[in-house]
Amino acid sequence: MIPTLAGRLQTRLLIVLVIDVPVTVILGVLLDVEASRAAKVGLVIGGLCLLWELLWHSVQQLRWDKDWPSLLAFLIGVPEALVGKVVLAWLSVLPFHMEWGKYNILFAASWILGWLLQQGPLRVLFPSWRFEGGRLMARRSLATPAAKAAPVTLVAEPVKERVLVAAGAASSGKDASGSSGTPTRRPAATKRPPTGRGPGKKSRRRPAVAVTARRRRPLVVVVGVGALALTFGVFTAIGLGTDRHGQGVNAPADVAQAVHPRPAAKAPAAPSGPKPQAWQAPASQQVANTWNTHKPVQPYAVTIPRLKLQQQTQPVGLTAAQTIEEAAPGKIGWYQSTSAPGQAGPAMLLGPLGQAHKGGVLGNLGQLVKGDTVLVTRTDSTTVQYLVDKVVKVKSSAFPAAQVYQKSKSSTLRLIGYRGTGASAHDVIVFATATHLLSPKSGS
Amino acid sequence: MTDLHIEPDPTMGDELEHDTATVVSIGGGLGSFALIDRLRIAGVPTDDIRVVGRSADPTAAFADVCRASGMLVGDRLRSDSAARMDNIWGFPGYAASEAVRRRTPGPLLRTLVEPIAAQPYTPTVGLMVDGVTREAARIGWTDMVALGDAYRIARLPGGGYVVLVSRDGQPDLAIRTRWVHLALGSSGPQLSDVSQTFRKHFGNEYVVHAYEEHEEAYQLLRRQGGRVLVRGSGIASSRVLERLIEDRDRSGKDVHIWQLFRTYHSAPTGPRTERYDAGHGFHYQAYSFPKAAFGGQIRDKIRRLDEAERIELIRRLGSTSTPYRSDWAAQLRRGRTEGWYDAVVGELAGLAPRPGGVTAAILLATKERLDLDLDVVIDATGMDTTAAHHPLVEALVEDGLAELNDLDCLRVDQDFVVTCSPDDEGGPTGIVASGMTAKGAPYAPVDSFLGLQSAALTIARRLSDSGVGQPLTPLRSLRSWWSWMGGRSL
Repeated sequence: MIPTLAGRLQTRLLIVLVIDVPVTVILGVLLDVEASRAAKVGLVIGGLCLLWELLWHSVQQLRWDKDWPSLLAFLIGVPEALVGKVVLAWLSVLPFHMEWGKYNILFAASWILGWLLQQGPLRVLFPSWRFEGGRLMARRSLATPAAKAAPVTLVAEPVKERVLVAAGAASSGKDASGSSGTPTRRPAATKRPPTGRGPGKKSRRRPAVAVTARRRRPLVVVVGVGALALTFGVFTAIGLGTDRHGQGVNAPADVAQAVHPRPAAKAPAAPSGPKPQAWQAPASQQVANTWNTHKPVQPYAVTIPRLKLQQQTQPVGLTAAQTIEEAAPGKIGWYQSTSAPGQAGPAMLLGPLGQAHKGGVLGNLGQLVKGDTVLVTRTDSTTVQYLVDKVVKVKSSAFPAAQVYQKSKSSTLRLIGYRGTGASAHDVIVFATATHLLSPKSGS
Repeated sequence: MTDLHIEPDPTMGDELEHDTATVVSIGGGLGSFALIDRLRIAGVPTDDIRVVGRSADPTAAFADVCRASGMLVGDRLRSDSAARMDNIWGFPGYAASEAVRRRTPGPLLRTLVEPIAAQPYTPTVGLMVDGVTREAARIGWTDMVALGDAYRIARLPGGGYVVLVSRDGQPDLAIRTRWVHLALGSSGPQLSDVSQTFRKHFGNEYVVHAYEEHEEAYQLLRRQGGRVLVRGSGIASSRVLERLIEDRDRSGKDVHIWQLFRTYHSAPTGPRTERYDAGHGFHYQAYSFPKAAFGGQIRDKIRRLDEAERIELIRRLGSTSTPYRSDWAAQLRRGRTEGWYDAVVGELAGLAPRPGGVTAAILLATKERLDLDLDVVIDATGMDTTAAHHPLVEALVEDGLAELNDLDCLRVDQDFVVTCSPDDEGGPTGIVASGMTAKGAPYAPVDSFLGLQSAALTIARRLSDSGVGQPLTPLRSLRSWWSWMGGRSL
């Protein structure tokens, strides 16, 4: 098959839907990547492909015979794979700890299968595909500069004179079968489907010369624009799904929130009503605005005044499966690879949502609103006071890793409550920034 | 519908036999085969189809030309793996079949990396002929064949057509039909006027044609050596040169080869995006047309152009060319350095007999005259591609049923329809053409394997619109392919 632009896009779209997405999902499951994430990998690869096709089409124009050899069609997978990787990382579809080896396997498998499909099997389903430059279906006639209708009207006369004798009406048909001896049979007209079907359907009443206007150029443009729009749509959808709460990675969180108040920021669990609960430091504590943000001090306990909740913490690391360990029952985990509370950068504390008697340690974390206070007491008896910036609720599969792990000079907190397993798993993430450090007054 | 009876031509003195069909394909060669195969696949019964031809074997004419030009079963055609005559899907291709037969993945790998990392894979004559023979048996070809020459097509007053067929030792056959398909092929080798005149007066011992039986010419040169002129620079000429050089090497006789080019391509020419490869006089091209003309951008372009522009482009793209093959290029290189191969650029002005041979007068491109004393002249100027030379086409045009285009072939529309008109009941009937008969159609390589199949798909779709057979939808296509793979008879 030597592709045309329309054919390229049609074929690629088919392969994205039939090969790329299913293959990445199935392989993703085998490789322990979540299905929805794997599907996104497939869609991103596929969506990018449509853009790539525009580039490859221009490259093809440089070839004198507009040929596109199979080998070339295979090798263009290399740049596509590399750029796909960059784009996936940028869209943060893939989590930090997903090894790129898995991506390579997903890409290579779907690429090779898609390419092999184009080397033959696709022609079995779409016999015209190879003659139509990769379009899935044959096009109907265009303008026909050929045969005028004239011959049709001319024919009867000379013919009759020379060979045929018309016996006139059908009634006289049977009497004289002439000298031939063989009875003249009716033509196969009786065999074919009744022509009565004709008048109803326009395809059967096709005139002798089809006069369809030349409309192919615009169609190609429409297809091209459609593909671009589709690609854009796919990216937008994935971008929104992944980073639903919308701040650009570099935009300061509070500014973005002020500009675009998002529904999710109000959080379903916290209807628009509740106002932040003010919290006053007890008199026994000395309040400081600045403190040493370089010194790592382990957290000891978390206090959330609004929820009337206080829980001890415990440092946790990674399991063999590269997921974060769970803390002991009744304790909140502090992921020790992140900053310590009070230290510059994000400190990540996490635990299951729900009530204490059901094993939850973070209660109804989603009820927090912007402006609430979270306190983390450290092992040196000091307490870091955090002000909540925002509370988001996400599906675990769409965990905004880049945002959560985003580095900062100030000390920030990421308090994460999780609930459920598999596809229904979701997280409540509280983003907070340290404002004060409380230390016990001497003598108390 | 008007019923009519047909009176025999008084000069024939015979009675007519009658037959009825829905589709009659005239030609009986590969062009007929491609269409009928497609129709049978989509469920048209054998009773509804008649094939009129001189042989009950669809590969007969093709095999004759191959044999005449010295190609044996194992020799390779100038064609693509996927251009598989017996398989409308082109999958699996000839390369896969050959890989299975020879138990080596070589041909298959070659198709995947051609033409960048390897010279293109080409199927052998044997693969092609065997495949078509098997498929012909599968679709019940012999049940549909009416042996004979179609000499007349006439439109019936009530609609539809009658095809008159003259047969050996039997009364003529009159077949009534709704659709007539013409795939008449070439009417024979193309001989220049000069050669024709010479042969008329002095016989064809010294002036032979590459597409006619000419083994004697080779034997003569093998026996006693000599001087030979090869006219033309296309695929036929490269085949002849290869044979001459092989014979020369084996026999050890001194054979001097002159090759007469009409146009000498010394280097790749044309702008960057339309450049074509050339060297030592030859225009190199893997197939008769650029690949994109078989189903890519050039095919789209040709579809869009009007007839005059289209024919101009077809002429340009399909101009004489030959595929570059390194072994053959090496032979010629040796000939040039050792001095027994000479390229001459010009026209053959005349041929005159001399004892034991012929003298050729060549008008060189430099306007000088060159006289060559030769033992043999081999005309390798290709086949006659003019459909108008066929008596049936002549009669059609005379009756006003068809028109000729500038290539003197039948003028067809985008669907390869020559003429189409409703019958009394409003159902469409018509004449369609494919192959060389329809040269100048909105598909450039009409007379290639792929061209025949492309035309077959298009025509069959048009026929299915009018109720003959089924459209080849993905599901039906898959089912038909599956039964092809299983070799199940239809």
